Amino acid sequence: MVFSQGHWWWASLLCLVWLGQAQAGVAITDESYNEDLRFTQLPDGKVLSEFKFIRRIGPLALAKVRDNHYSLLPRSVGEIVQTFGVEELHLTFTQGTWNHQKWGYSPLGAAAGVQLWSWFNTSSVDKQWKGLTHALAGLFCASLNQIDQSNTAQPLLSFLPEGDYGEELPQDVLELRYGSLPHEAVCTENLTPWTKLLPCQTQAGIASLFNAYRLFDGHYHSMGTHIRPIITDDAGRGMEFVQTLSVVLNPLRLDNRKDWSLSSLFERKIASACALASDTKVVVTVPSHPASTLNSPPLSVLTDSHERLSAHYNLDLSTPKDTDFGVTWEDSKVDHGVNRSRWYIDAHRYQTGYGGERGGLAVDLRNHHPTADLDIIYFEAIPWYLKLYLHTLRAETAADASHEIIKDMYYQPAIDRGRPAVLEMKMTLPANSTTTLHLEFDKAYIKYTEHPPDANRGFDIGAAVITFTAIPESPPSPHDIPPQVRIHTETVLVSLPTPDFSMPYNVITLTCTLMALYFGSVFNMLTRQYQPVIVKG
Amino acid sequence: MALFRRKAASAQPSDTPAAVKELRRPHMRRVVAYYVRKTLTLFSWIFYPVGVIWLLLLPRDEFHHKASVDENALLPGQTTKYFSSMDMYAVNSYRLRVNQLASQTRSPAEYAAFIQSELNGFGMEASIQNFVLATNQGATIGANSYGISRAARGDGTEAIVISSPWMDDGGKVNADGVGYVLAFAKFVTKFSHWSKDFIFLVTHPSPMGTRAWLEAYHGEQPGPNDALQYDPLETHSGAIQEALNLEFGGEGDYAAIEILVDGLNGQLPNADLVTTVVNCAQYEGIPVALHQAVTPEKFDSNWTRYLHKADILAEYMKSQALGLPRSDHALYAKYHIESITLRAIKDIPGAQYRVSGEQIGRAIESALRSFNNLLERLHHAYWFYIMPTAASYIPISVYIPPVILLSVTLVFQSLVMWWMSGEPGQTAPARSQRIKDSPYVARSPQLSSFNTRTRPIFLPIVTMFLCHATGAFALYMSPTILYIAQHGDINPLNMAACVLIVTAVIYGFMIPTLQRLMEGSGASTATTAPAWMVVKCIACAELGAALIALSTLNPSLSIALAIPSVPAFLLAKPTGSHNSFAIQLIALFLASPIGILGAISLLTGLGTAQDLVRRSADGWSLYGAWLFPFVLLVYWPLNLVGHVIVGMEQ
Amino acid sequence: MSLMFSSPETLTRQFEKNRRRVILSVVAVFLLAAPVWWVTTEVYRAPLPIADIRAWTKPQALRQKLAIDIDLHFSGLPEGQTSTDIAQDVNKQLAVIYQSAEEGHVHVDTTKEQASAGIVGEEIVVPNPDVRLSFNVQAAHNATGPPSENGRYSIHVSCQSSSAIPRIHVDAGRSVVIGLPHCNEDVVQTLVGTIAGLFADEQAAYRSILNPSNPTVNTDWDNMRTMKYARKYQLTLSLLVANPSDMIVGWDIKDAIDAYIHPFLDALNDISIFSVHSQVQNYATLPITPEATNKDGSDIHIIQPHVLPQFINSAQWNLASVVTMAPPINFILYIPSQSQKPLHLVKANGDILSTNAFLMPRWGGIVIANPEANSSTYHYDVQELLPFMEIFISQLRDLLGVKTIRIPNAHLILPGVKITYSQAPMTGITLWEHDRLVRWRTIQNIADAAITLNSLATLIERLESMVVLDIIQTQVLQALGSLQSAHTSLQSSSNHTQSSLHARAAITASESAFFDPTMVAMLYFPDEHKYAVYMPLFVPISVPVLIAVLREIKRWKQGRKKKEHAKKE
Repeated sequence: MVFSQGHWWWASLLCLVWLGQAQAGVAITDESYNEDLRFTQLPDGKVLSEFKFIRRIGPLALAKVRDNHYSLLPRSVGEIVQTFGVEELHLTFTQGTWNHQKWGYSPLGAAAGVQLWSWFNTSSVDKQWKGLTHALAGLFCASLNQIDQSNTAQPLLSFLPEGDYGEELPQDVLELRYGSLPHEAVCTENLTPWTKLLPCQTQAGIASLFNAYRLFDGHYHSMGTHIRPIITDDAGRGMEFVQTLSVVLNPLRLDNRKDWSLSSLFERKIASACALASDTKVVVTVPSHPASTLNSPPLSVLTDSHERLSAHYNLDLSTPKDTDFGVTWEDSKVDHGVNRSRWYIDAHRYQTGYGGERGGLAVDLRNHHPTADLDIIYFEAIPWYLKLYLHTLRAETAADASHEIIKDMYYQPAIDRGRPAVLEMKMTLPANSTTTLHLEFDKAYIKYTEHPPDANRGFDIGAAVITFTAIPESPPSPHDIPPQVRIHTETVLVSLPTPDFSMPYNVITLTCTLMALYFGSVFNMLTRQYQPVIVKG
Repeated sequence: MALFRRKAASAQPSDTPAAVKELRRPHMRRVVAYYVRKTLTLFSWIFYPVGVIWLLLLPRDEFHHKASVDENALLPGQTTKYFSSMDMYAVNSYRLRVNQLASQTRSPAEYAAFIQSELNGFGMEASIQNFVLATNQGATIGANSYGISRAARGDGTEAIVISSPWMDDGGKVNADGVGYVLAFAKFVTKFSHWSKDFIFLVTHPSPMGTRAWLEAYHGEQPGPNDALQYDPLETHSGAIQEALNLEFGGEGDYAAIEILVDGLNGQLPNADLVTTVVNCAQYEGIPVALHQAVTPEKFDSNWTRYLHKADILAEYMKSQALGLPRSDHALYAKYHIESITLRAIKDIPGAQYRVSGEQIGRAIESALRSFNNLLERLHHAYWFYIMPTAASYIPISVYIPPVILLSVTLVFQSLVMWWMSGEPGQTAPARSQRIKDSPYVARSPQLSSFNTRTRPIFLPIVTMFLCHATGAFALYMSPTILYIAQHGDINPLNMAACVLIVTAVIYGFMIPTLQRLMEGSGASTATTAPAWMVVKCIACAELGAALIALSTLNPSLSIALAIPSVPAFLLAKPTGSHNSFAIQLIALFLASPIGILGAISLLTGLGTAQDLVRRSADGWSLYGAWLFPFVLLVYWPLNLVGHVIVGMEQ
Repeated sequence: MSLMFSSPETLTRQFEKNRRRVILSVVAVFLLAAPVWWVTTEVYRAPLPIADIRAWTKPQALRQKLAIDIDLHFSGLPEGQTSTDIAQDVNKQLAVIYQSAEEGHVHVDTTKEQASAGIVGEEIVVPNPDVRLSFNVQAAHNATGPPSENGRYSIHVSCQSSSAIPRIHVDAGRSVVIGLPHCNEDVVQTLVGTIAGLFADEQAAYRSILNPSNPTVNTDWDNMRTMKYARKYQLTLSLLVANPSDMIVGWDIKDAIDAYIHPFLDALNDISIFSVHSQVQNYATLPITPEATNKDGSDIHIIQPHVLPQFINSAQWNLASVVTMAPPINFILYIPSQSQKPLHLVKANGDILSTNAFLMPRWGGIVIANPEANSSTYHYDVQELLPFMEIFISQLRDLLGVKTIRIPNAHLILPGVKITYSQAPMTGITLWEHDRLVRWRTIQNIADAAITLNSLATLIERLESMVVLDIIQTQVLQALGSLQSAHTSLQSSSNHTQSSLHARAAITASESAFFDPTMVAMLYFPDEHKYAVYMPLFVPISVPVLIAVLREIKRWKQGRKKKEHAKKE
């Protein structure tokens, strides 16, 4: 290494210094960072932990970001947003399926695997989308680059922009792309780069609870990265960058008790508050019950409309290290019943038919509301190798036939190797009934190079998305639920006709031999002579 | 042949004219054809004994492959097992409660409700499926209860079914089996290493319940006037990969575990599944039985070994040939689900080793772990095999030749018939001679293409049609006949009488009429071939083709039908002498279904024969087992044709 | 009927004709189809001008001449001396020094040696190109301003300067002012010494570019530190705070960069362009633990030189960019945690390094700052950032290969002469340095482009079944074209700016061709496979055809014999 030589010219810079200082002055920043951690003990004893890391970048800081000076916003994220003209980005890595029936509704619920949707404000969106997927693939060590044209959709109704855009109607100027990888295995190698984006990484703040062994040992694990524009108080467009992680852990699994604490769930405690966080909230919500006692005294306790008792804590640098939260129960009784306290719609999708030639999909859409018919939007993107027959689409309901279920439909047929078939429907689900959608398809023969390495496993069909606006009384606190509620159905595994991959050479040989035989016989026919022999006498 | 080449070579006078050269080729062709025909006519029957001998050799160890797992992901028995005495305690307590409940009530609904509440208690999505089966005996009401445990790691796209019927086929309460199902339902929720969902299914009555559940699971809906009406399912999981069916009708200590592999119509699961289950069981030290028999390590003599394995093979082929569902696993194959049934054997004469419940639990657990490891469907190993013991198999490459050899005789026979009817070439054609001092050649008469006979078509077609029509009619009438047989509680004697009457009608009335029809018309003339040759030609062709086609789907059935019918058909021809006439009729009758049934009832009593008829008929109407229609539509009519042939004009 | 009674011979004859036609047509189809099959099944390889590429490794190909024009301005030249004579003398002597390089203190390499650049393990011959500075000193009579283009310099000699000792002042522009008390004979010596001295290092540097096998120690250092050339660099300034819970640190980096860094970069933008980023990272822990010692009464933490290579915690610090391909240059301002303050770098001999900074060759530079913690936050304003920026600039100069212009061992060449150098106040790089950098990069790019193309050619020749797309071909052609034009513009004119542009184009094109992703085709189909697959088709088809053809030929011969017989009779 070489130690810097030559202070010989710096004196001449002094003049600049004064000049520079004049415009610099003291640093005014309009960035803020909050951490928010919610524990909810679900009726069946499982504990849902929702981590939120919220960064709000004001117009000034955003201007700095525009010429590549990053302080709170991670550089990699900022670069991606700028390079590809991303206005809004929602990326989730999810393992396991969210159990709507038992756990109710989670704003952080997402489809299994990887789900990515983004609003662009550029022209040549397809190019930018390709670049975006590749960049994210590199950033999160995921195979996001497999999202190509053939599994990219442009929903019209289901994924509306979620940012503040002021007066302008974003759909007119922005363009949307949606893609998903249902069979992407989520694991530590995705978590690590994700945590590196956090301001305090995993060394302080609520992120210090992250223990990969426990996080991935849960029943449900979803890791989100959300970017949306916001309008901060001083007029001007800012940006909100939120990282979310929600995980459902089961304290009952080993010892049959439903007590839990941070150390029992994560084998970690919160080391200290993150120095950069202006505000760190921790909320513990349990079904209010005399048998339950909180491990540490909260700031405030309030009970919501559903007899749930939520205790609020605040962390700052003054709070003692290794604070632990949790609940102790006297009994270990859990309720495995279906929980509809906060919502009324659930959906199940499954495969129908059998055999290698054709199959079908069926979706059970249930509206549990006793009286109200509910409007939903159903979105489905089906890969091209399942040849849909739209005429087989039918909606059956137990309710009286006077209801017209499907109000409006938008269908985009697939192009082989080009784009998926996109089906989007406005539906009205009759009160307290089950509606079943049926759809049939043929299974295509695909080229043998198009089969994945595990060809005999089958192909995953990404989750269908049901979007509806939560009806007023269902959400207790409006802040954690966006106006649009989104739930996802199960992934479906479809097995296509699979060749025997040990055989291609034999097939070629056989075909060639047949052709050779044919040729040979024809050739003989042409070159043989048949002539009558006349015998006299 | 060599003989001929030499002749042809020697026939090279220096100045043979072009014509002779040109004639040499057709001449050779004719000669070769003649000798091929001659050899086939004389020796085609040889394939039959060869096939039979080969079959008799199959029990020898040289033909057996030691079963080994081809799919690397399975790793049977390699995992650490957690099934402990605690879980065994759960099994026992559940067994008691099941027995108690079974003694209290008879209603499937209550059984199902009990199962559902238990499964719910483990945090599963459990529900009940009701179904009604309308049969001749009236409506049977049933209920399946099932629960789905979502895998912590998985995305719910794949599932494994663990099922057990509430009652085993003996009509006894399958308390231990249900106990294991419930205990495992509790057991799997304790661990997070599962990557596939589990579906715990208790069916009653089975296997009808299993059919109802499977059809509902795959989104089918019963037609308005189907015999079986069932509800749709409330919750689903992903694509079912494997299914394990448990039948433990006992009190928890057993002599061995028997594996039931062959499904509906003799369809088999992938060999890897069987091997995995067997390995897991043997790893736990459980003796695994096949068809009630555990193969010991060593035998006191090769002969006893041969007998032992021959016995198992015979049992195996018998059950595969019938192709009727022996337990719930039989119905899964249709949906490309690899399935197997584990059935506990209380006692084996001479075996005093006892299997503890924990061993069974651990065996099941490690099998489940192996299936859980799978990343793809089972596709590495065979689907076509015959099992002489639980731990070895005979691959298709070894057993298919004898099966084909048996049936191919018929094909050659029909070929011979075609030739004989068309061109009766008696002697080998002589070489063409050159006519002195002329460019022309006089060729031997056998080379002429004018000495062919025309084949009669009308009579053969009528015969075939009438016989097949008879079969179709019988199939159409069968439900009625069975209804009469079962409802007008006819005792076995009357049943036999009934069968005898039918036989009498057919053989005493129909066949003679046909033969009358042929009277004088089917005879051969100088220009027309005898009708019987054509009839036999067609019949042999049809039967041979049917049996060969069958040999890949259900080799056992193909063998079972070929062995009696092939010699009968070889013999069948019009004859003057009464002895041979009698012999042929006897052979044909023995080969006919009624003859076979008669033989069975002679050996094992009338009841079994009756039972066999009923079961095969039910198997067809309820589960779509096609033994019954195949016999009535193809096999029996052709046998009748055989009878007709015997009585036809020469 | 006619057929019935037509004699066998006629029928045979008719048939013979048909058969011949059939066979001929089949054969014809085969012959026509074969090339189609060949073309459709072969691997596509666009033709490359291999010969031209190889030509660039020939000795004379890289022989360059760097023309340097120097205008002499004299003031108060005594009688008897004309500036033109002096100019001629100077030219002569310079020529002597730079042509025959053995004697003289200017080290010019003339040994013909072979160099090995280990690209795809390929021995390529880079002959000594003897890149030679050729001077053209001429007297300029009308006094003009400082010359405005690279490669043209002016020397002002004033013969009666006030001071007693002669002075030489190299100023930031392209000119030198020589003040002599009185101009006697040795004015020529002074001029020669000055010129030769100013360009000595540069001439020496060219050896190591084209002849890396025996580099002199000095230039070896340069090559190790200097970044590989790229059209675009990404400059990242990172503020790494070890533990923000001690102290949250911020900086006015934007203004500081505008004030200090950008002028320097703008001065270089005809060589490379830079995109400057800055970021703040907290909880940036060191992979090494500094050792705590007590130095003259105060507890300090020190880092020994030998552990510095492990200083960068590349696993934890997000220094890489996910979107750009431009080579990154990192500058890090590291704030250690309270427990490790004050943190100092020490020299090998153990005493503390004043700058507290060090440079990672071809990577970037690191500065450690120990702001005293009196509050929970600390903010660096522009003025406080100045010293760090200054260090970064000087490190950047090293990384980019900017050399300070000095006359080596001046006491030998110009004894008793006082030499002063003026600096570039704004930019931090003088025109002398800039010009030299431009020339140096030009030569280097030409050489590198030649090497890259050569190894590309070798690679393609080695792997027959590698797909070569047209885009590769066009890029290679571009590279060759630019190489050629760079060469010619160097030879013909002294317009170094122009040639540097060509050289840059050459290196860019060649590199993009060499690193094109399509060059590594994943799924290719070697010829063995092809034959193996088509064999079962071709063999059984061709056998009957061949037999038929042979038979036909035999018949034809017999027919001719018959005819001859007939003729004879």
